[in-house]
Amino acid sequence: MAGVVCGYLLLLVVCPVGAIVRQAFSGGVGGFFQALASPIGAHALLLSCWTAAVAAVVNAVMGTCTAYLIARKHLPGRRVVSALIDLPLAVPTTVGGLMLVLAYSPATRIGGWLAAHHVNLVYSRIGIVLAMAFVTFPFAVRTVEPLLDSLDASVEEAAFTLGASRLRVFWQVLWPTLWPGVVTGLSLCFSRGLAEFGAVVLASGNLPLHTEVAPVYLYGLLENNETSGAAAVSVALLVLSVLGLVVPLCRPRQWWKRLAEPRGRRARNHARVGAARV
Amino acid sequence: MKMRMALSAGVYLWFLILILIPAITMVEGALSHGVNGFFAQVLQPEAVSALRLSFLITALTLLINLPLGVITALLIARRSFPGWQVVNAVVDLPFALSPVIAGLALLLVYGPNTLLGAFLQNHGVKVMFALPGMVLATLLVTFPLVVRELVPLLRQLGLRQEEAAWTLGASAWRTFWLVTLPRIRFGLGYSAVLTIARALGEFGAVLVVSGNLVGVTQTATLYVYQATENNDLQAADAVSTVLALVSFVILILMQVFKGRGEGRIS
Amino acid sequence: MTIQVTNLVKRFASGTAALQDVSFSVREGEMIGLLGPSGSGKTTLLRMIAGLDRQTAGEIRIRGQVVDNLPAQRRGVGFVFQNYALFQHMTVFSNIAFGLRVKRLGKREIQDRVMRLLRLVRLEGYEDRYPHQLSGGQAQRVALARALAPEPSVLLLDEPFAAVDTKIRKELRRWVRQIHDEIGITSIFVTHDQEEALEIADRVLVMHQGRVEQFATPQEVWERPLSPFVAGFLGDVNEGAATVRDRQVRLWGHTFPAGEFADGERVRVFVRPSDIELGPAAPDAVPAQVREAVWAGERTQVRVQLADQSTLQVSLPSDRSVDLTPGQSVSMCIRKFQIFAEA
Repeated sequence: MAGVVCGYLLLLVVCPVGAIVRQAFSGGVGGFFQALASPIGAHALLLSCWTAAVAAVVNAVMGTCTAYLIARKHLPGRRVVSALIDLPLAVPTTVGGLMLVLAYSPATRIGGWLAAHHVNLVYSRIGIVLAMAFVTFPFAVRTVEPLLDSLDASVEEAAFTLGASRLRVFWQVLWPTLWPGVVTGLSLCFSRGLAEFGAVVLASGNLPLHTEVAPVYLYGLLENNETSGAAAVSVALLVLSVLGLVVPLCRPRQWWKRLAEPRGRRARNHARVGAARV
Repeated sequence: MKMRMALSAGVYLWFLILILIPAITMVEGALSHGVNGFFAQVLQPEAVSALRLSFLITALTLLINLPLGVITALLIARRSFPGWQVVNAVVDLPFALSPVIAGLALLLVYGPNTLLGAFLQNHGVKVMFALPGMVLATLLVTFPLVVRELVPLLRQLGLRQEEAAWTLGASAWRTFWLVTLPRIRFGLGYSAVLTIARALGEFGAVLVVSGNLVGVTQTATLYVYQATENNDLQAADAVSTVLALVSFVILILMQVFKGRGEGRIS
Repeated sequence: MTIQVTNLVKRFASGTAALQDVSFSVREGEMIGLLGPSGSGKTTLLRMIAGLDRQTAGEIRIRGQVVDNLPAQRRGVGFVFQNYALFQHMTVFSNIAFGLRVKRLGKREIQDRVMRLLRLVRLEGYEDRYPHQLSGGQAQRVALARALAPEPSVLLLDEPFAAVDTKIRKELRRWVRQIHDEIGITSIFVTHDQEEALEIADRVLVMHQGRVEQFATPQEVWERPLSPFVAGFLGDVNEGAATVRDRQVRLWGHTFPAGEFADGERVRVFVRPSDIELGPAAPDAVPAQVREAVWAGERTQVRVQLADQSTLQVSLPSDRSVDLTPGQSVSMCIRKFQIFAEA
């Protein structure tokens, strides 16, 4: 059994990824960096990074709020909302991108009105962020939700009866429990946003040096048969994605501990960190 | 109270912009030329063959990745062989892979210009720019879904009931079918639904390995992309709506499986 | 000998030893209580007899046959798990029938045997319920019936009463003993509750840090503990240390004969609270002062202070006519004690 699985993974994952890395360095390390240093390519990578980061942060904030309101039963119509959160997971990403285009392109009512006020929600950098946010929203909510469920509402109420302010309750009661989930959500959103192609390619407009993100640039290289350059960009993108996924798992305890609770009473919550790994 | 309302308003607004308005606009657009117009678009031969291809790929993916995913999850969850950590890490790799990269990676191994690809082609198996390659690409991007869903579930359930079955004389095989499988059925159902959604919606990887030949290797999502690029928004909208309807069913199934208390996000 | 365990050793991958050189044998039809604090290796031992874990060294025989290389499926051992491990997705009937179906018995026979077992565990009429619809005690009985269904040669129970509440627990364990006597199956049960072990076991195997401390009848373990651990683990005990002088041990105003211990040796003395008698103060008796008296039904727990400031726990029958007002002077007499060399 183990042999079958290993063989399958070897053929499906390990060999192909290995081939990319080999191809990327076929021209040596110098060739690899040269491929990355092209102005269009560098711009695309940079654009991907910051748009993914913005989308991740916005989603982390909105996702945490959404999860909180649903878990504490404050949100009217929360059952529908709860179901709709999964919509981006169910819908093909291309369809997600098309939805955004149909709703906000300058040719439409809303889009036209917004364009008249110099706001473009698609075919712009905002469009990229929006597309990434659409695709990754479920992760931001679902990584925080189980942690909120594990935290009994009475804990918050106890803090209120002790005279703690709302801000204090959030910072000292909720946050120490929630942060592992928020960080995991953030990292998942970032990595997925970075990787996103289908939704972004439709909603961004793909103007080189303006709204062309790395995966789209990569696809362009492939179309032009520039395999080595494409492989180099792939490796760069892959490294960024893996970093995005791995860094928060490595040593976040220390620095978050300092940030969240200076007096270091967080030790007992450490057991819960594992639960945030989804 | 004030703060709670502001928070709710913010969440609703974000929802409206991100999900509600786009979804409604799409359905509205699909029906703007009436139900007949909608069906005329969907029943175009290219659209029909694209949808059919998408469903075929999805079915094949499910058939291969579901059993293999279950086996992998069991191996990882029970730490049953040395090096399970390596497998565990490799399983996650496709999550970090942009679909385009996944396609490129497969191209570099199974493409016509490679050793393996040429060998296969000489033996009459065309992998890239054909159905096998598209299935392979979909397999690659969907493989983690089942494993990631089942590993935590299996660990949480523990081995007690399986051990009970063993002491009662049940073989490993019987124990799996009679005890393990029924216990993970909702988690498995949830991950199967996720796999269907992802397979049906896969775009980047398939785009790279398919060659995108109309009527031959064009899936539904490729069709939507092509139509959008050609500014044939009505055609794109119609096929998208069909996909969205399937998504709607998927969404409901997800809620059903999750409602059983075992489903989690991938 | 139904079960024979010889020089059993279990080391985990981390290097910690769970069992060190454990040997004992169990006679046909006996009921053995495996008693020890948590982490003493009793559950590990039980799981190895069942074939769920594998030993590092040593040998296990069941009915004369070496079973070391047999998987759990083929050892013919019935196992009742701590939290029952009932199949949650199956009815009570299917749970009990599981082992019979695995054996591919006929439908009629399965039906008969399950019904017989349901009668035995007094759960007639519950066959269509699911485990989550049962109380703790009922689930426990289903687990027992399920383990007994394939007619195993040995029944192993891992903390069988830990998850039911105190009142039902007492009832349940007497009843398990009764069932044991009815079918005469050799059984081993794990427990950390000494009362449970002493009450229903034919013999008690006391374990500590992966070793067997003592293996004897409940009465013997209680009256003649072989080690300070056993003396201290079974019930409450007063403990003191002293040095032997003139072949005597002087402690708590008493003089104990030192027995086999030589002068100058450090020893530990154990006295059970129920082995101390209190009476009205008398000039020639050992004086003590009542510090606290807690009435607990049939017995009263008293704490007394001695002339040397040490305090002792005493358990008196509540009907004893001694004035136990705190501060009251009384006389004290120790009826029984144990002396061990200091480790």
